[in-house]
Amino acid sequence: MNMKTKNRISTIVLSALLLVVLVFVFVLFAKPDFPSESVRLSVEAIGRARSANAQVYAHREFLQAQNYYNKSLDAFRTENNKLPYQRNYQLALSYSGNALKMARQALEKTEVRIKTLRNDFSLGLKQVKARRDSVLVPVNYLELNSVFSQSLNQINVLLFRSEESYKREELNEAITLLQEVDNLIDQLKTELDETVKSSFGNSGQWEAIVAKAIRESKENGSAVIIVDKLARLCRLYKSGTLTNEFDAEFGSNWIGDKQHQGDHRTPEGIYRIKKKKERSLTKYYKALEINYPNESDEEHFQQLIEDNVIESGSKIGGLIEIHGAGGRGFNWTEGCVALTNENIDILYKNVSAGTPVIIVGSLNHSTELIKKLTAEIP
Amino acid sequence: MKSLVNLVLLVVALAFFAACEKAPQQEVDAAKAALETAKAAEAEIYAGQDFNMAQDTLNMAVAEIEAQNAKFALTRNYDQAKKLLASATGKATTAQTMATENKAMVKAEVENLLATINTDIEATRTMMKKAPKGKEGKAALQMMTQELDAVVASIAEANNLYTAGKFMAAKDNLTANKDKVMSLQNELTTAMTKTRK
Repeated sequence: MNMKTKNRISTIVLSALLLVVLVFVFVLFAKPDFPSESVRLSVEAIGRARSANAQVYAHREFLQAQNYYNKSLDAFRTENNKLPYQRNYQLALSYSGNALKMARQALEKTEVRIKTLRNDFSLGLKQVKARRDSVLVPVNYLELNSVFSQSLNQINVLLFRSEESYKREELNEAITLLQEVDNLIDQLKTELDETVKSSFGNSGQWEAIVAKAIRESKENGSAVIIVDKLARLCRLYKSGTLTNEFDAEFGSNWIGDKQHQGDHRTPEGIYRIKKKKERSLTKYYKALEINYPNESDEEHFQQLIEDNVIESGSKIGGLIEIHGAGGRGFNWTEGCVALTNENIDILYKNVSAGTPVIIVGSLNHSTELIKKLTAEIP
Repeated sequence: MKSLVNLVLLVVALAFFAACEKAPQQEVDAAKAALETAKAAEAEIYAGQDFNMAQDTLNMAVAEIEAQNAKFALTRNYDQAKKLLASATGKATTAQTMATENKAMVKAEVENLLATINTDIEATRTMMKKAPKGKEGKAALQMMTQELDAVVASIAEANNLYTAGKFMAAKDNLTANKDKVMSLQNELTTAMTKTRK
């Protein structure tokens, strides 16, 4: 091989090598740029949405943003595994763009949702507290706090929990708890309505009995005592005319007719004064003992035993009086009607043994009043 | 000549492979595992901020790895990604530690409240025995008994929340009930002081 041929071969080899190197360089560097900025923006947007709690308040959008972001990473990986000149980041970019868009939407929705929830909570809290307070009016009036003590305590506990959740920014929980309180108030209102209906629902009948007694008082020129438990009043009529009206207190378990001894209820029915007791005969200043139990009470008591409403060994009780030592502002007796000493003096002077005493759960006027109180609960 | 070319190619190939840096997969796995551990420790609830930061840092690291993967093998540099991964792992571990601590703290508070509220209720019942009776006092005491019974019923609910691991809710329940018991004790103290006068 002469020199010339050698040189030619060398040139060809070198050219071929150069060509290979050029192809190699082309393959390595002729590739699209990685869209770092787009990825960075979507990562940051997802971070901002997460910090704002979008996973809670815009769950769907946040989840979509994350899914798009994961898809974009997968697409980038797929492209990066290809030869540089074969790479195409368009799909990955599109996913990344969607991730950014959804993360921004999630953030926006979260901000709006938080604002709405805060407003809802403030308004709801005010309304629920107002409802609780208005329920307390008839509950206090009817002295049913002990009957409803569990519900009332639960209402207060849940309200406290709701406010604490709000302070921790657990807005959904705070609102849910408020709704629970609202439901409890609804239940309490229903129970209250039922109590009023069952205990004072027959005020029409009582009204007729009282009207008849007043009419007879007018016809006979005699006195009659009308006791309205719901109105907490004891009225004295003489010859059919109302002459005196006294505040009255009853048994601590005052709602409903007396059923048996020791139930702390004041009986409801038509009675007469059996005995007038001077100071020396009573520890309650002065007293007017009535003829409880009367025939109707005996029958009612037997019926309650037969119906298993009360135990068979129960006693019917007795010694029901209208007496002094009252004026305490709440129902405290064991079943009697208590007046202030000043008022029992007036009543004592104006009645005698045999004077009719009508004790009713309520008359129309007082029933309407309590119905109005329960109806006023928003 | 031929052997020279072979030698050059061999050296280039060796240099190429020697300079090739591997993606820090082990570190990625470690960071992900740390986040899972934090999640299991309820870090989302008890150390939310730290947990979120760890998650975001991991996202940044993974993006950085892909950015480096897109480069020519000889020019890849995963230093930044490794830094981010180390930071993500650290933050996740911190979140897990904080969550464990915070949860334990709330749990201890609940246990303390559960123990003390029962003592408080007993103390209130003892005070009630010593409180002035009479018809008025009797009615008030009857009312208080009902209110204490309502508190006891509510504490049963707090116990259920505690058993279910809902410590915050249990704590709020018990705090509200404790306030109620304290207000009853104050009422009794006032009534007893009045009677003494």
